[in-house]
Amino acid sequence: MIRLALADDQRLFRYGMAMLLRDMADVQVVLECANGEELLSGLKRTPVDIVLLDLEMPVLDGIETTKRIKHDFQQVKVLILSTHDEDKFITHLMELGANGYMLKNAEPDEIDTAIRSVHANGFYFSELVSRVLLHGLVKKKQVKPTFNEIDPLSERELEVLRGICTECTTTEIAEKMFVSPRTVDFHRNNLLLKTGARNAAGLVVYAMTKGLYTP
Amino acid sequence: MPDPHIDLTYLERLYKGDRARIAQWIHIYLEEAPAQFQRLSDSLEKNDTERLASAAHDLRPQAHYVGAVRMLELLIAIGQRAREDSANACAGMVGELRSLGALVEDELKTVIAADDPAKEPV
Repeated sequence: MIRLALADDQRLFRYGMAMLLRDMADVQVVLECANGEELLSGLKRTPVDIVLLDLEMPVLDGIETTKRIKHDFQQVKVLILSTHDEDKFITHLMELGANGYMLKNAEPDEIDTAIRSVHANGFYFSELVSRVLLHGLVKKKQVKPTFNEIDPLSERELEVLRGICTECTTTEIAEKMFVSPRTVDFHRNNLLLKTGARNAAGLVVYAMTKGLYTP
Repeated sequence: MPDPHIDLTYLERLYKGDRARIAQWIHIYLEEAPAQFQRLSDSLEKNDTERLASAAHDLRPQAHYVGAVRMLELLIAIGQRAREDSANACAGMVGELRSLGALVEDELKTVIAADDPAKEPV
């Protein structure tokens, strides 16, 4: 069961989304809040796997709330659900460690996919987010592969990294590589250490930066 | 008969055609929308650019849900114009939006009434 929290100041949106989520298999909305402060307080007493978080909220907005969740509730994943489609918001939230970002006008199927992807893989990049991040990276510097890393990634680590980028679960990567899921986790941890990424989303950004993966 | 200002295709997809849920959603819309539209007018009156842009922004998901294309266009345009120029520069668009909002509400009431023949439109 995937336990969800829903934080949005608009009652109508909260109601509509909760009703949609109620129909999804293995998903349960365990917390509904109207702002970030209510959410943080709720997270102290209610275990949650994923937070569906709006950005523009009174009292405590989604940006500050993301920062605090990443600091105080590191196991909780954050999926931003916003009307803002501007690059600056998407890039900033992903840099803060959000596990995914999608627009409120997303189709029901995409919402389902995003929740499951964030739960299983730790991230969900919609087409919009991939485009924005890639655009940002290309603008910042030339994207090209490099072979002279100080601490280069091993072939096995690269295989795991490519698996993560293509949204494979740990089990799927393990099957492809003919190793155990535990071994995949081991490589994944090494990847996090070597790249300095904080989560799977960070690993994808790293792979894109280094030209190791193109969406 | 004039063209409708709403298209409930998205809501129907969202709730898999469950008329009761769609009606429930519409009921909440009808409860909440007047205050949100009022917020637009109040912001305009006070020439409060940020508040106007924010109010327009907040209404966008609802416009999308009810398939009110022109309403969505206006909300986006108001947000942009308010930030680039001033709240006062959006007076015409806010006026059009409020008229459109009233038509949308009427059409939504008709939808609910059609689903529940025992009830007259509110």
